[in-house]
Amino acid sequence: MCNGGKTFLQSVRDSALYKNPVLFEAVGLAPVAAMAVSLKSAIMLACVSCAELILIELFACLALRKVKSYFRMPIYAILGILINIPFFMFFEHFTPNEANAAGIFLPILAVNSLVALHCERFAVKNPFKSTFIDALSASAGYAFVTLTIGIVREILGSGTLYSEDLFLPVQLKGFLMPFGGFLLLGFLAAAVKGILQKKSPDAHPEQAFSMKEISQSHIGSLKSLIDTEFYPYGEDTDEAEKDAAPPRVKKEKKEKKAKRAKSEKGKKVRKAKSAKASDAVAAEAVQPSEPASSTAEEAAAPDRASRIQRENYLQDFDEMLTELDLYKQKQQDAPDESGAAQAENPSAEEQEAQIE
Amino acid sequence: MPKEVQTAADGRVFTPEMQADIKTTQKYMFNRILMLAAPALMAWYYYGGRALWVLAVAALFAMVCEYIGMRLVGAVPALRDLSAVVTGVTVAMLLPASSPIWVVLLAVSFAVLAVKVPFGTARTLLFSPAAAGVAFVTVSLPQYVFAYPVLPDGGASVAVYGSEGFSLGISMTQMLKTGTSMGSSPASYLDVLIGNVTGPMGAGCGIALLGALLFLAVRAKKGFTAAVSCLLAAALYALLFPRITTGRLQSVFMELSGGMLLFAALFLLPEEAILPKHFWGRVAYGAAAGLVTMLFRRFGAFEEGAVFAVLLCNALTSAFDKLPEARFETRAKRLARRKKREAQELAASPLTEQGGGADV
Repeated sequence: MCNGGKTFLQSVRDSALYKNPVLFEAVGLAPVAAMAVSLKSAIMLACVSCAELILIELFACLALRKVKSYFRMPIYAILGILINIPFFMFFEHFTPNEANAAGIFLPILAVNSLVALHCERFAVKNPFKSTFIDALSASAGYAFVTLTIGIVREILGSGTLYSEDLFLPVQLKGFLMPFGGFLLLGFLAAAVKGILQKKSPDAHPEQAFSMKEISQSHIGSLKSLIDTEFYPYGEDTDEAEKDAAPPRVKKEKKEKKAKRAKSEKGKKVRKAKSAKASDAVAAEAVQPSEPASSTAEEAAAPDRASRIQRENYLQDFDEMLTELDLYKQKQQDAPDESGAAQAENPSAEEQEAQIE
Repeated sequence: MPKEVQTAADGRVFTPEMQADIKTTQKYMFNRILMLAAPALMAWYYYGGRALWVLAVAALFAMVCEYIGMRLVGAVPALRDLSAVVTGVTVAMLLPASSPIWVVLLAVSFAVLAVKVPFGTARTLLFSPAAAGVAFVTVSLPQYVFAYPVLPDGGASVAVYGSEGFSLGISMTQMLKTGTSMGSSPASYLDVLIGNVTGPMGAGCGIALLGALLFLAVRAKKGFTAAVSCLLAAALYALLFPRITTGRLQSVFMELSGGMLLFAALFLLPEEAILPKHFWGRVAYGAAAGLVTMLFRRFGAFEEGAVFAVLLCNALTSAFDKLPEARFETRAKRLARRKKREAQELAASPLTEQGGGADV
């Protein structure tokens, strides 16, 4: 979501608008529909949710990366409760009417699905700075929607704004009910989507919650690794450099090793043979471009051995990408493993033919 | 532009499929307008010129709302299918004739802009727009929706709610809510049948609505099924659990003829786009609507709950459609079916299993 190339403002805009947690990701709807019936209650809701989201996401990024996911969920709930309690006591003391009107929905923010989703999807897989930007922008998006809905519902439903009477001739109590909140959310989502599509037609806000983002992110990071100057098989590679690789890549490498151990030995032999054959062909194919690549690689890898090592590394990564695709396919077609296994061979051969 | 697309004079574009859809809907809506004609005529008879004024304004405003709404979403408005007119008139008929015009316009705008337009056209509805519009104003402004006027004398036009000549009447549903009977004299039964009672503008005259029921029986059998099952369910409930103490049959008569139940069964439930496809599905759909209406009347906050019952059943249409195919098995049969399926999977699995070294 937050790449190095994007500025801070672009990242905030992306999350707050194009990936708005309420309008497009459809999380945290119940508190907004049920609780945000006035500006005051919307402010309460926004404050508590933003504080929880920012603090818990940052904590998850710093301390919960290596914790199993089924342990992380209760930790989010406990942290949510710990953050919620002081806010609840504060609001109960200073705005008792609004706190009572909020009912169960203020305490239930402790287990808001928004927090769990952002932590699992982003915080435990990304560095601190990106996580902070994600938390900030999701909070901004959530607060924007909550405050807008609260203001509109208070004006239309109660004829007041921040408890100040606006002397409107009509008050539509229907908007104070949850169905009114859901209706307004729907229309707000449609309006925001229409405006965003006019401004940037290539963006697709409704795909903000696409699960492809999570699976594709692994491939994206692997591909970005290929483009960097990185020699995992080089003699000078230190343990520290290996440890510097993102945890996702290490985990995926372990999974791939486990899968390789399970698959038939014949496949490995065939792949090794085809890899050797393609080495010879790739070396010949790469020769004409040697002058161009050598100028770029001169400073880092002047010798031929390191170049061959890089080519081997690239081919290994191609195989890993292929296996990732197949693993994804297997997940989708869970019973039919043999069909996917049979598909592996042609696709590897096709790739090798392409290299040739 | 494709060859099969014909351009209208003002530049609007309708494909042949859209034109066929519009024609079909036009036919259906024309039937609905014919059904609404008799109750509208009786409304004019009892409430004077104001009734016709409210109906005309509601129909026009519904068309304007549909045009604006369809343009906003980038769709082509198809006003000639008459669905907007029917929606507007239906909403107005469910409200008192003395309602301020802005209440009627609010209900119509909600019905069209919030319920009809977001789901496309009259062929792709999920909820009855008229029911949703009336439900919205019922929840938001109940003091206007249930303020039924006393019938004016001598064909005079009814006064607007809150104005000088307005006097509040007591409707049948209000009497039922308080447990008051209408009296057992034949004159009172006749008054109810001919519509000489306080109530919604178009839902008062029983004879006109029974005529509409006959029309439904002849021209729209699917809707007739749902309507009759709704009325039968409501009648059965009223028979078993009367809210008055002067007799079960009188309870049935009052419950069926009072309020919006009869009108909702004839005009809101049989929406062609929303009706279940199977016969028993329609029966269940209508029966559920009738039963829920009676429950809302008995236990709800308002004296009338027909529109809420219709919306609830609209939401459950797909469930009613699946009812005829549902298998109500005993536990033993279900277990036996599961074992058979597992055995089949086990028999098939060795052929597809990918064995590692240990399995060979």
